[in-house]
Amino acid sequence: MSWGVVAVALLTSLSTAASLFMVAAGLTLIFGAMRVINLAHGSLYMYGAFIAATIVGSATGDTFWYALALAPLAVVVLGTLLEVGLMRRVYRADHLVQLLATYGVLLILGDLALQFWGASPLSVSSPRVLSGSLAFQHFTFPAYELFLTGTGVLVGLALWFLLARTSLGWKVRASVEDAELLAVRGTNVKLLYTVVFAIGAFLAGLGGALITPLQGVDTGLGSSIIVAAFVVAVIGGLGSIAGAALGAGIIAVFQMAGALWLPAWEPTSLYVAMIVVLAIKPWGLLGVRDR
Amino acid sequence: MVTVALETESLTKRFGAFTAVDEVYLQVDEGAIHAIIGPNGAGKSTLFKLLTGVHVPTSGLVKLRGRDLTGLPPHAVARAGIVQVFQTTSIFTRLSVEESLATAVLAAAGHSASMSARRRRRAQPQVDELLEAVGLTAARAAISGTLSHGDQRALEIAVALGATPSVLLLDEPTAGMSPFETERMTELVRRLRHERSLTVVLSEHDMDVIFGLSDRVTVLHRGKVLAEGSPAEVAADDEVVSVYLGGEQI
Repeated sequence: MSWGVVAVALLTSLSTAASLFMVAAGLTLIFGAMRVINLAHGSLYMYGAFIAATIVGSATGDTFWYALALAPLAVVVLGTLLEVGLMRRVYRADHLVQLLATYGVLLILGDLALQFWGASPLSVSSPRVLSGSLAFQHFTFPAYELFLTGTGVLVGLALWFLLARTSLGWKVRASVEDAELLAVRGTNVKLLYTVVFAIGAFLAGLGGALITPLQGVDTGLGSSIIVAAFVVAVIGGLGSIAGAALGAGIIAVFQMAGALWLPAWEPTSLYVAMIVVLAIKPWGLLGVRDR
Repeated sequence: MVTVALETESLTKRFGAFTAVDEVYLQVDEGAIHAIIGPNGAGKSTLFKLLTGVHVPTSGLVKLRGRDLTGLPPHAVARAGIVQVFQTTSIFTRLSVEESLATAVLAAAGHSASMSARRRRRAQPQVDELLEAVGLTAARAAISGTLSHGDQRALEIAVALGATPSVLLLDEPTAGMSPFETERMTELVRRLRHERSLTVVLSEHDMDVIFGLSDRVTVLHRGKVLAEGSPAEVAADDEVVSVYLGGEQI
């Protein structure tokens, strides 16, 4: 195998990882603060993709950038409604109730998407500046995928800054430790949770909008991404943003290696990676034991 | 005339068939140190949770300077000015000292989910002042969980003060402390009351602390007010002596 193939494989893995990371980071952020696994997170990603595809398709010209700016915001609105209408009622409930409730939302949002957008996939072409490939010494690589990787890195840095350097981040970390104490010290924890959920929804919507030039947009998008994002978050350690980045990298490389050497096993590689990690570190690579 | 800072009217909390707090009328004068005493299970902890909004009363009212706070969520009660320091040290162990304080100061100013750097800078003088007041300036960047027990206790009080209370609730502030630490804590409570014109409500088991510190004492027994008065009056009350002090000589 030539160096060119390996380089392309690695770069492709990185762009897959970037996309997985954005979705998994939102899932893990929401779990970290509110202790809820939001299965409907996949639907938010799917709506990000559908809304972006609709905006791109609604006009001629280079509309992708508008779609990229607007779709995540639309998903934030959807996510906020979901949080206020449903999620805050189930934070204190049993995990089973939470799973049923969010799974119900996943189904409802899936059917609504089918109503609005139909069953045939929508396609979106890359924005003009990123439509070509970059030529390196031994290989060429699509510019858009490099852009996706870069965006993933920026999102990771922004999240780190948010949690480590802003008072909002300190409050999120404090709420993970003791939400009741935070409340009696004057913080409106309900509002804080809504904001955290909205940030998670933004990440899902952004991930969805960004994937559109690489993948047909259909109603299966939500359930396929939620499984992958969940595996990534669990491998990294639920609640850990850095863990989500690490998990996304591992899963992407595993999938790529599977596709190259054992194509028949590619779909399974995801779970093999999860089982191996959990056998060694039951709380995930960077996870901490639950309270 | 002395004004009433904190007041409850017929405050009652039932858990199923069990009445934890039973028609309690409490009047805490502005600027007073008011002790709530009673044997374990008398309802002191539940009463505190009713005062801070953590529990919603089954019936009755909680008023702060005449303003009805009944049913407000905990963060709103804290912003109104009632803040509790807990019996077991309650801090955010994974935040730094400075982050913990800034969080409380910003919350008191009504910013629950802000990431504005300007607001944070504006809170800085108050954070510095609190660090100075409890002697933690040198430890400002330390992760709270790594501090010594005494420093953690000091941080907890600073965080509580960061919420700018007018009424400070202290739940057994000297529990588990050596005589020397108890003396220091007593001194701190006295000093804070004067410097910050606080009203203090404390629950306590240590008789020396109660008599040395408090202006008034309310005795709770099985959720009801058994007696109320100056420390001397309460100590002389036959009923109090029989049910609570168990005939102990004072």
